[in-house]
Amino acid sequence: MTAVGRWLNLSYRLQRWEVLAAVTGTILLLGVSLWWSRELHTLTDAYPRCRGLAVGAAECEPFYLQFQGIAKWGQLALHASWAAPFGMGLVLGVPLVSREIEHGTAAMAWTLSSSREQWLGTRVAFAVLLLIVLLAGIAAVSELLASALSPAQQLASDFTWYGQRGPLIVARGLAALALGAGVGAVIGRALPGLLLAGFASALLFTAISLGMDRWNGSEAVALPYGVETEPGVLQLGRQVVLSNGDVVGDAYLASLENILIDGDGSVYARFDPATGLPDRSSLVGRYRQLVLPGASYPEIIARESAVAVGSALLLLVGTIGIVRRRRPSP
Amino acid sequence: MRRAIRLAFAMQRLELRLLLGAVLLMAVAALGIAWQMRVVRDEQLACIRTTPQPMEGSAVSPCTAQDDALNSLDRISAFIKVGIMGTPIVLGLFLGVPLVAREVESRTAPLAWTLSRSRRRWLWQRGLPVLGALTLACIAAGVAGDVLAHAPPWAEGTGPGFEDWFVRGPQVAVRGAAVAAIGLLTGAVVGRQLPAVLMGFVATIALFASATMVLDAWMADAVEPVAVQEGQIVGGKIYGSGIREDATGEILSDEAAYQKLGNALDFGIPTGYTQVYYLVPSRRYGDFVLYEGALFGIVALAGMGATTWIVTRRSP
Repeated sequence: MTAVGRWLNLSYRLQRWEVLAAVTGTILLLGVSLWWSRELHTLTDAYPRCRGLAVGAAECEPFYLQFQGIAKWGQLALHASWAAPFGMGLVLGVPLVSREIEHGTAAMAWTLSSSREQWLGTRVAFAVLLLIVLLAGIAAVSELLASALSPAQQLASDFTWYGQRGPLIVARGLAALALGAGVGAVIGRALPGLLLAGFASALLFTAISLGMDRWNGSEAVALPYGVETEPGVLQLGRQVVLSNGDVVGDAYLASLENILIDGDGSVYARFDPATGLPDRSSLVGRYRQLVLPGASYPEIIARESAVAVGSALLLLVGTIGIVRRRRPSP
Repeated sequence: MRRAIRLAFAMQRLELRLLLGAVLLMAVAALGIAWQMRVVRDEQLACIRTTPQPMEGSAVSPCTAQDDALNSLDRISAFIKVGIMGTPIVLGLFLGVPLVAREVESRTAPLAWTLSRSRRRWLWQRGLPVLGALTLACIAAGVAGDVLAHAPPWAEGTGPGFEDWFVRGPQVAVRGAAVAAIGLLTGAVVGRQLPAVLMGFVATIALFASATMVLDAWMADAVEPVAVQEGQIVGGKIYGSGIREDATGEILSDEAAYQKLGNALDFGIPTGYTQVYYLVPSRRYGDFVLYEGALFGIVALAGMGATTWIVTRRSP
C-alpha cells in the first residue's frame, strides 16, 4: 500500500462513523435532488408554453398545480443543501482533535508524529478533501434542482435560492469544519464540543451574513418605493430621503412617533383631520428600496465564499496554535 | 442517594451548564418579548382610539410606530420559537446519549457496573436526575412558549388555537423525555457518543414525522362542519370548506358552489347561503395534547425499558 493509501485508510478508520454518516447523507440528498429535478424537467418539457409559469392562463393551470406539488419537495431538498455544510463540517471537524484528547490517545499520537502541526495537517487534510468532494457534489446538484424549480430564470445572474446552491455551500462547509476543529481542540471532548461548536457556528455565520449585508449595501441601487423590481434581485432593505436631501436609514423613522406612510412611500408627520388623509405639508421624506441587481450575483457569491474560506484559514491557524500549546489530556 | 445525584450531575456538568443556561436565557427572552408585545399592543390600542381614522381604502396606517414595533417583536419571537421547538431534541440527545455511551466509549463501564449493586440500579441512579433536570427545563421552555403564543394581537379573543403546536405546553417536556429515551437507547446500542447522537437525531426526526402524520390523521377524523357568519371569527385547525344552502341544510363543496352560484361568490356569500369550515375547534386542543403526550410517553417508556434491557445484557 502506498503512503497515500495508508493515509486514506488510517484517516477513514479513525473517523469511520462520521465519514459513513456524511457519505450516506450526501448520497441520499443527491438522489432525492436529482429525482425531483428530473420530475420537474419532465413536467416543464411537457408544457413548453407554460415555462414562465403564467398562472392566469387556463391551459397552464394543470401544469401549475402539478409543478407546485413537486416543487414543495424540491424546496425541502434545497433547504437540506443549505444545512448540509454546517452539519457535515461540524460533525467531521469537532472530533478531529477532541476525540484523541478525550480517549487519552493524543499524547501517544503527538509523540509518534514528527510534530503536532504535521499530525493535525494530515488529519485535517483528509476531512477537508472528503468535505470538498461531498459538498461539491451537493453544490452542483443543487444548481440543477434550483434551475428546475425556476425554469424561467437565468440563475447564473440571479439571487434566487441564495446560499442553497453553488460554490458557497463548499466554502461554508470549510469554515464550519475549521470552527469545529478549533472548538474541539479547546474543549477536548467530542459531544460538548459539538454542542458548543453549534452555538459558535450560529454566531460566526450570523456575523458573516450581517457583515456581508453591510458590505453589499454600500453597492446597492436605490429604487423608488413600490417600483416592481425584476426577478432575481437581492433586497437589502430600505432608506429614507428626507425633504432636505439627507439620506437616513430605516431606523431613523422608528425613532419618530406615529409617522404616516402612504402607498407611494411618502412619509408624513401628521394627519389632516379635515380630510382623514396625511397632511401634505408635513412631508418628512420618501422611502427608497435598496437592491442589488441579479448581474452582480457571481461577484457577491465569490466575495462571500472568499470570506468563508478566509475565516476557515484563520480558524485553522488558531487551531494549530491551540494544538501546539495544549496539554494532551482533557 | 444524594451522592448518586451529585455524581450524575458532575458527570455531565459541562453539557448541563450549557444547555440549562441556554434554555433559561431563551425562557427569559420569551417572557420578555411576550410582555413587550402586550405593552406595545396597549399603546397601539390607545393610539387607534385617539388618532383620526384614515379614509377607507387609504394605505395609510394611523399607528406605524406600534405596527413596526409589533412586527419587530414578532420576528424576534419567531427565532425564539425555533429555539423552543429544538429544545427537546437538543436536550434529549445531548443529555441522553452520553449516559451509557460515554462509559462504554471510555471503557469505564466495567468498573462502574461492577461497583454498583446492579446495572439497572446504576442506570437509574445516573439517568433519573438528568432526566428530571431535562423535564424541568423543557417544562420551563413550554410554559414560556405558551405565554409567547398567547401574546400577539392576532391571538386575542380566540386564542392561538392549534398554532405554534411545537412550542407550547407540557408536550415539550414529553417530547424531551421521548428523545432522551431514544438517545439513551442509541447510546447503549452503539456505545460511542458522536455516532449515537447522529443515529439518535435520525431516529428522532423519524419519530417526529411519524407522530405528526398520525396526529394529523386523528385530527382529520375529528373535523366538524362549523357555519361561520360574515365577520365572525372562529379558532381551530381548518381542513376544508364548503357553502351551506340554508333552505335545505345541504353543504356544497367549494367547486359545486362555484358551479351553482358562479360569479355571485366573487362578492361574498350570497343571501340564503352560509360559509362552512370543516375544522377541529380550538376547544379540542387539550384532547390532542393528551393524545400526542400518550404517543411520546409510550415511546419514552419503551425506550427506557429497552435501554435497561440492553444495559443489563450487553458487554461493557
